[in-house]
Amino acid sequence: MSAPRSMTGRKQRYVTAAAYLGIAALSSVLFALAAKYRGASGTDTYLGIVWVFALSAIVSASLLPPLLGKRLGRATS
Amino acid sequence: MTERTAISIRGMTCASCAQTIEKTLRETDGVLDATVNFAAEKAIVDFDPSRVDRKGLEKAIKDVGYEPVRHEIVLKALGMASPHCAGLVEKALLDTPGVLSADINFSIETVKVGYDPSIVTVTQIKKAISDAGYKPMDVEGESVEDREREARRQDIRKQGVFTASSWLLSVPIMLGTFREYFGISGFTPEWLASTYVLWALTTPLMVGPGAQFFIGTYRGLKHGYTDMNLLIATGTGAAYILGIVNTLFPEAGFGGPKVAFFETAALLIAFLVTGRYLEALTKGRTSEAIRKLMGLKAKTARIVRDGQEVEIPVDDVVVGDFVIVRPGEKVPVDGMVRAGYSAVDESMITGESIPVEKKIGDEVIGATINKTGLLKFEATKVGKETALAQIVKLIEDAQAAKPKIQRLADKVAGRFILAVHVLALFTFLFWFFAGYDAYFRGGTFLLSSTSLFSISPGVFSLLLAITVLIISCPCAVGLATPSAIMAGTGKGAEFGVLIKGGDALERAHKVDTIVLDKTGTLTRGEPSLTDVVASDGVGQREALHLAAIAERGSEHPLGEAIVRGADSRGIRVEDADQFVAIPGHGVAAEFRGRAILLGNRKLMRDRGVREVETFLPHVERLEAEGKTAMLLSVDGVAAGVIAVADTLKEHSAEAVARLKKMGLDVVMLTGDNRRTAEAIARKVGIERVLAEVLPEDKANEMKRFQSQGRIVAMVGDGINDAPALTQADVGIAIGSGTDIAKEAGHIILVKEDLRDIVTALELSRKTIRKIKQNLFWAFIYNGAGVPLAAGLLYPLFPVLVSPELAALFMATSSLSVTLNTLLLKRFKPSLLRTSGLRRAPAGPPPRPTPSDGVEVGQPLGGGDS
Repeated sequence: MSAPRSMTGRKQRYVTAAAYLGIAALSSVLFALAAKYRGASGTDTYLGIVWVFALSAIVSASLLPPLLGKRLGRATS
Repeated sequence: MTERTAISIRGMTCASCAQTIEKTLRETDGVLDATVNFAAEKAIVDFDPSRVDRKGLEKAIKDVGYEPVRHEIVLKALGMASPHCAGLVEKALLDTPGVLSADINFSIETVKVGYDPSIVTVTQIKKAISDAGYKPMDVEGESVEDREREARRQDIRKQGVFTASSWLLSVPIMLGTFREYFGISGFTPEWLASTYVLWALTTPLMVGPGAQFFIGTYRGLKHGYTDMNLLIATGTGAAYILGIVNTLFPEAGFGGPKVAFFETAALLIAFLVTGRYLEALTKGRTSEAIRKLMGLKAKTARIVRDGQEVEIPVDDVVVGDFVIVRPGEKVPVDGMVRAGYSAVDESMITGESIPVEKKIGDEVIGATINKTGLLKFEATKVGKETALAQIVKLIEDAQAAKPKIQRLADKVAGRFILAVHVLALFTFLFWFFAGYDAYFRGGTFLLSSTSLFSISPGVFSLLLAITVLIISCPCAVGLATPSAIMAGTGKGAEFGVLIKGGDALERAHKVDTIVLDKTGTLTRGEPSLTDVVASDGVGQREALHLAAIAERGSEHPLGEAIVRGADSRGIRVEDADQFVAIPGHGVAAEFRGRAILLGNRKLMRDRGVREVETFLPHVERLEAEGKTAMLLSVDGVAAGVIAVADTLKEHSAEAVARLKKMGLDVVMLTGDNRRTAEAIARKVGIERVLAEVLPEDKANEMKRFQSQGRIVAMVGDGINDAPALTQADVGIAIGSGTDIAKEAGHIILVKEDLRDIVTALELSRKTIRKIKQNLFWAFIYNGAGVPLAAGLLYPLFPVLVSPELAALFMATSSLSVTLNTLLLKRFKPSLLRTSGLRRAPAGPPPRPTPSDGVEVGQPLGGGDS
């Protein structure tokens, strides 16, 4: 019987970081598209991109690790 | 195997810091449970020593950015002359369980030892040094309490400096920013309004006082935690960056060169740092009681060794040492008086303001003060076993334990931070895409120079989002419960009421039924002389004299009560010339040619005593009162009746009356027969009596009350009542004296004064009321502040809460909660003590007073009743 495999802590952290940065980036892109559609000024759009990215990253960084941690642990064991 | 340790922690700034540490500890391998109290700045950790040690726990705390305060002692190790010696001492120390670190300096022969006091004592550390071949000696050093106090002082000093420097920089920033608004241009130089100058003034604020928020955020995020620092850092950081962008690119569209946002960042930090400073000042005061208790410990003890009096550190006293305490000195450890007589001030432990008489055989408690005479006593409890150490531990545990209400508040506060970020995001998106176009009509932010007329949708939405972040900090929610519990349990300790945690407090305020054990709780628990009825020819004093002589040789508790009764009335009790005990009937004795009989009716009948019928009505009356009545005959003629009974404690009736006034259903529970029980109940004013209840059934009686939906408190002496105390919703162990740790029960009353039950219940009601008030104000603040900050009312009123005003609100809410809690310090029990010199619990009972039921047919003489 083989020993259970589990993803290393470091790898798990990278996957999680990639996931929440991806979500934050996606949110920013969506914001930029919406701002462009609405005809917002360039400055306001840049400001919004940074702000939306920061807040989305904070929110998803808090929510994702416990969710992904369980899922990754289960998937690789 | 499970061990428990307490770790003092520095660097916590809010309740979410406590949650971060708690979570980290719980996730540490080998930790079974961990509770961190933000207000007490302490962690209580249950762990498996085979999987993790104290060092591992400290490391886990350090890793998330907080500083564990270690118990340290500096000792001399005489004889060390080389690095080899230092190595030996170091190894000996590190091999000792509980020693965490050993820094040796052989050139000055000192060792600095870090240790866990729950595992190893200073005496054991010294023994390890002497076992290694060196002579340990004390060096004046700081105790952990001193270092905690110093750490607290440092924190207050640091926040004080931050506050002063914040305002020193914020005032010119405000003057520069508002130069054109409030007619202050006359005395404000024009250059101060330059955004570059404002930037230059704000930057030291951000990297000085403001840095703590960014450092805290970094530490949290590094470990995947979000806390209140993040809210503040996001808000102030965004305002500062916006200011820089506006300064460097005034035409970028963020409100123009006159809208710098530096004052937003500066005022945010100034208000928040001021809040932290005031919080640090007041937070220390909620835990004052326990620090006072810790400070009571004597530093040295004078003991007799090899026939010589020597003064040694109190930690070196061992059980069995003979300790000498002179008038005015502190009793260093717990013990039993072997010689001397004095009055001892025990107020610091029991709350009793009147000094207690101490004589041979009485117990003395460490940290109390000897007032009048010299006492020599044998040490019976030292170190962690002393009453003081147990009280401190009990209160520390109580303050660290989280009641349900606090767990809920912490959970809400924890989720709140994430929810606030989501809300800030939605606020931004709503005002950016919809709100600005639909509702924007100019106006201004309150407490800000920002005019909304020149602001773009992006900046407008951003400022609202920042305000939401700042106003939502749930600091007040996190402080509401622990600060009140600390103040409540600390206040209880001042009055000799030890409350084992917030859950006990929470349940105690709901109690509607109070069950009082009779023997040892309502009554003294040992028989005392209550009545003397005598024939005219003999007289009360002589009747008691003769009865005491007859009983002097007896070892029966009733006989001892009669002899004690005579003694306390100043009657000299001589030895009988002849004495015979007649089991089940009484005693017969001869004294100076007079034949004395003392016993029941049958004894009198069997011996043909005359005129017994004269006294039979007295016997029947006394028996109806639940007393044991004994007939006395002298030379074959009945001479009187002596009655003995368990007497009420001094304040039982007063306490019962008060409990009833508080709306409680008061019940008496006893294993005694119904007649005796009802007689006592009548005297004390209790209508409901549960008599003839076996000890094992007492717990079932509690269950019966509970099944009727009652919240029941049981008051007992904590020995045979243990199952009932545990079963009751609130178990109150009374008169525990020095044996605190062994007591069952949720609340412990150190002294045998029933009025303390009233104190305990009043205190629990006040503390819970305070918690509810605190939570109400904290939630109201957040509940009302968040929608206001998000601009919910903006469509109706063209004014908005600026981030600066939000910071002011936030600082005020934490402070108001702490100040509200501090009002608990004014708590005074409704029943104040007015008694005179109190006898020690172990000594003979006090003289019966008329209220004890002594019948006064004619005076006993000498002023006796």
